[in-house]
Formats: sequence, C-alpha cells, structure tokens
Amino acid sequence: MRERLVPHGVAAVVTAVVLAPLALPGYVLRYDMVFVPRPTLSWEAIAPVTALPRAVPQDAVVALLGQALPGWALQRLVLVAIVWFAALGAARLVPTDRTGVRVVAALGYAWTPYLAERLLIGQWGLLVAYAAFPWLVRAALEVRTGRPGAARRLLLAVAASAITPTGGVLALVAAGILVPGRYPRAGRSTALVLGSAVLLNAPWLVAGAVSTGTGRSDPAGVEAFAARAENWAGPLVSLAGTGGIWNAQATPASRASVLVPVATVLLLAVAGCGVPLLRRRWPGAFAVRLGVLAGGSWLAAAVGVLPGGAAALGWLVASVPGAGLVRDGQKLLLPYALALAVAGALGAERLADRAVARFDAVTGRVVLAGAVLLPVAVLPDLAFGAAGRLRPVQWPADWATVARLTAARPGPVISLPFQEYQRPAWNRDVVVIDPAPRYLAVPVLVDDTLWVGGRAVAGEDPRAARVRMLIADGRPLAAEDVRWVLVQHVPGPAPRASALAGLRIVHAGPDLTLYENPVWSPSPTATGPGPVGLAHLLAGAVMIGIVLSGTARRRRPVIASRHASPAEGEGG
Amino acid sequence: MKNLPAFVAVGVLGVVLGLLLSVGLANGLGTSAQDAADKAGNSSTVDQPIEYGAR
Repeated sequence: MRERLVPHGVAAVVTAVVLAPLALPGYVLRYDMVFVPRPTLSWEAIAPVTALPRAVPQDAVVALLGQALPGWALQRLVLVAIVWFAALGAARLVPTDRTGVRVVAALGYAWTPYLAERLLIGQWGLLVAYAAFPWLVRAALEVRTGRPGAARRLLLAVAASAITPTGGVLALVAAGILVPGRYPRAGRSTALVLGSAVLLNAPWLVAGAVSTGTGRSDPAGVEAFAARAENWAGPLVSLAGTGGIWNAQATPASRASVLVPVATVLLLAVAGCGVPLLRRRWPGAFAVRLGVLAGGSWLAAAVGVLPGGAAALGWLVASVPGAGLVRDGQKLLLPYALALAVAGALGAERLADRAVARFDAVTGRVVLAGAVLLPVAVLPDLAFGAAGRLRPVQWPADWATVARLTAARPGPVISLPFQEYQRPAWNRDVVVIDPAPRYLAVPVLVDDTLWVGGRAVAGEDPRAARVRMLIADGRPLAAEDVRWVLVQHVPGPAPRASALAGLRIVHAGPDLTLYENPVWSPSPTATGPGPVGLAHLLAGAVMIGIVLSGTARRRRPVIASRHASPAEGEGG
Repeated sequence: MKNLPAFVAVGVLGVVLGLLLSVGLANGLGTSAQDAADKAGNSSTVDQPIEYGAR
C-alpha cells in the first residue's frame, strides 16, 4: 500500500508546488499556450488550410473537450495531469522495490529543465507526450513480457502523445525501437502497435499532406531554434542537463548559475552508476534499446550545434516537406530526459546501498534524500509557477464582445498588428501567440513570420504572405476576401490608415477595435471536413477501439467466473 | 561516534545542496531577472514586430 501511495503523494506535492499560482482565477497565457473561456469547434481548428499543422489535432481536442468544460478548468486539468502523470509514470517505471528510489525517479523526471522550459514557452501539447512517455516505455516492456492489456496501454500513451506532431513522431519512433524483438507473438504485437500508432498520427499527417503550402520551412529557423548555451559550459552540456531551449525568455534564470554544469556532471555520474542495475533488472536488451533511443534523441537535439549539423539541417528543412518539425532540436530530448531520470534513480540506489554497506542505514537514507533534493536545489525557480511567471490573467471583456459579433455574422478575419505573437498590456506584457484564431469562431488570418533576436524566420502560409505584402504597400484590406479586420491595441506595427480605408467600425473598445468590410460577400468555396476530417474520425475510431477493447477485457473474466463459480450459479 | 558517517553525509549534502540552491535562487528569484527574461528582446519600439523569443 505504501509503495502505491507514496508516488501519488509525491506527484501531488510536486504538482501543487509547480502550479501553485494556478489556484488564482483566470488563464495562464504564455507564448504558445492559449486557453479561451469557450473554445469553438471549427473546420479551421481541425484542418488549417494553408499553414503547417503544428497544432493538429491539439486544437480540435481542446475544442471538443471545451464543449464539456470551461477553458479555465480545462487548462488546469491539462497542466495538473502533465506534472502528476510525469512524476507518477517515472516512479512506476523504475525497476526497484524501494519506495525512496521511486521518489528519486519522480522528482528526477517531473522537476527538470525540460519541463520548466517547455512550460514557460507554453508547449503543453508536447508536455502531454512528456507525461505519457514513462507509461509508453512501461507498456512496451509489458508487451515484450506478454502481460495482458499491455498493447492497449501502449496505444493509449501513443494516442496522448500524438496530440502534437512532435509528440506523435517521438512516440512512433519509441514504439518502433522498443517493441520489435524476439519474444512470443512479437510480429503480431509489432504490427498491431505500429499500424495503430500510424493511424493515431493520421490527423496531422493528412493535414500536412493536403495543406496548400509547400510544407518546406525557412532554413534561417535552424540557427534561430538551435540549442542554446545557458551558461559557461556551452549548449551540449545544457542539453545533457535536459535544458538548452533556444529561447532565453523561456529559460529559468537559475540555469545561468555557474554551478549548473557541475550538477549536470554529478547527475550524469550518478546515472552512469545506475546503468548496470537497469540492464540487470530489465529483461533482454530493453535497457540497451532505451539507451539507443535516449542517445539518439540527445544527438538529434544537438545536431543544430554540431559542426556541419546546421548546414545539413538547413538543407533538410528547406527540401523535405514537414522536416521543419526538427529544427527546434531541444524538444527531441524527451526520451533522454526519461532515461536520465530512471538511470539516475537506480544510480542513487546503488550509491545508497554502498553507503549502507560501508557505514550504516542512516547514511544510505541521507544519500537517497540528497538524490531526491538535487533536482530542486539545481532548479529552485521551477517552484510556484516558475517563480511567478505562470500567473493567470483575466480576458478583457472586449474579446467576448468581438467573438459574439463575428459569430453572429461569420466571415474571415484579419488580425492586426499582423504578427504571430502579441504582447498585450492586460497580459502583464507577456508574449502570447495571437489569441484571435482560438477565441473567435471564424477563420482568422495572422502572420506566421517568426521574429527571433531581430531576425525574421519566414512562415509557410502563402495567404499570410500575400496579406503581408498588401499591408506593407498600404493597400486597402477591403479588397481582400475578408469580412472583418480586428485591430488589437498592443505593441507592433500599426496598420496604415489607407489599409483600413473603406471599412466600417463595428466595435471600438479599450483593447480591441473591430472593423467590418461592407463589400464582402461569401465566396462559393466550400468548407468541410475533407480528408483531414476523415483522418480525425479514423484516429478517433482507433482510440475508441482501444478503450472498448480494454472494457471488454475487463468484463470477460467476470462473466467467465460467474459461469465457473458454483457459489454464484442459479440459486447460489 | 556511531552516527558519525551519517552526520558527515548530512553535512556534505547540506553544503552541496545549499550551495546549489543559494546560487540558483540568487539567479532565479531576482525580480529584475524575471522581468528581463520576460521582456528580453521585446523592449523595442512599438512599430517593430513582437519577437517570439531571443537567444
């Protein structure tokens, strides 16, 4: 009982400490994280027509869940689940019978620079994959040992991971490495898992394939999004400690500490001590397979900063459709972070055992306690919402008004200032991706050019490129196929008066002004699900099949026992 | 004397973790550091596009 309850308790404490500010009302709006009061389910959310499907099927899942839950509750549910399941998953994965070692693994995986940095950049979809990964690895291990229901659990973890393309690819690669092998019914299990995993990834794969954009990315993004040196030791050591995100604004300030590289080396040494235990306790070569996956993920994360790597990546993203997925290398560290946490926990166990053998039991416990506290000591500013940086704010009333007006007379919207990220004063000057596409129930066009350190990384959306030219030339937006122009009162290039010529003001509030194009008329282009909608349905059907197969499995033994047990027979 | 190794272990761990924690906190909890981190790269004039981030 204690062994089951303690990891839950640790997960609860870590979650409460990390997400403490979310006890306040409102929404945390930060970089790529936007939750709105009532998400709308639209074809644009399901299948972006011209842009790369970076938030497919994430936006559709949020919109679907948003029909049952308000946005503020959904955001808290997701963030709590991420930290909780990450801690619990790592605690359950580590092969040990000692509760203290499980606690080391829980802290080692849920209190990492990776989680802090991706939380600060708002990529919660990727963190869902992070939280699901220990469960995926555990299920893969159980598939190999023939435990009933393991394939279903593995596919549930893959389904959760596939909420974003990066998570889906990582889960697919992990399943491809961990599941094949020599064990009873290996071929059948591998085919079932990999086939279903591909189907679960179908929404973003199909959306990318049918997008009207080329799918190729600006090679300038490789340098802009390469791993970053967080301190004197350089980017490779930052990555070795699971940090090194490209964005200084999403990096906890403690990562600049001169002692962080020393702590990283210490952690690697402890993890190195744990590797022999891991190889001994996991059957076959499973530890080696996880090691290959972890090493490969570190290498993939580091390619952008290795000699010649940037040039090769630049060619890749500019030539291969969809390869832009890997230009932000640090996010690929996910398997490495898990392997480090598990091996680190076993290394702490081994060191604690040595301390017990040489000194006494108390010394051994002190060593384990030190291993538990090490991640917190190295990264103290993950506590309390990354030292207060995850603070909820309230949506200004203007947004609800504009949403109501545009929903009453649906038509395409252009959001100004024409830039992908906004920095509203009401959001405490924190940068956030333009909220309009998610708040409004109509198609919204925003610029997809990314600005990093004064340099532009070109987007992929040809429609955005056309409107950008229009605005730069000061030509009237009324000529574009657009019903609404939304002007947010935020920093950024202000629209010229000539661009707004011919438009009629419908709402003028303190935060937003909404213009209507009086000459707009609906174009005959049909909107509908198409192949992307079918891919969503297919993935949804696979998901329902996985869940139902589990329900059937649970029911079957009960029915069998009723027939088998004389005590429960007729009149029994 | 029997508990000496445990006392030494606690002392060493206390020094190591305390050092890491104090240096980390000094870096991480300064208000100016947080503000600088949140606004770095976006202190430009209002006519320039908002940056996704800064390296």
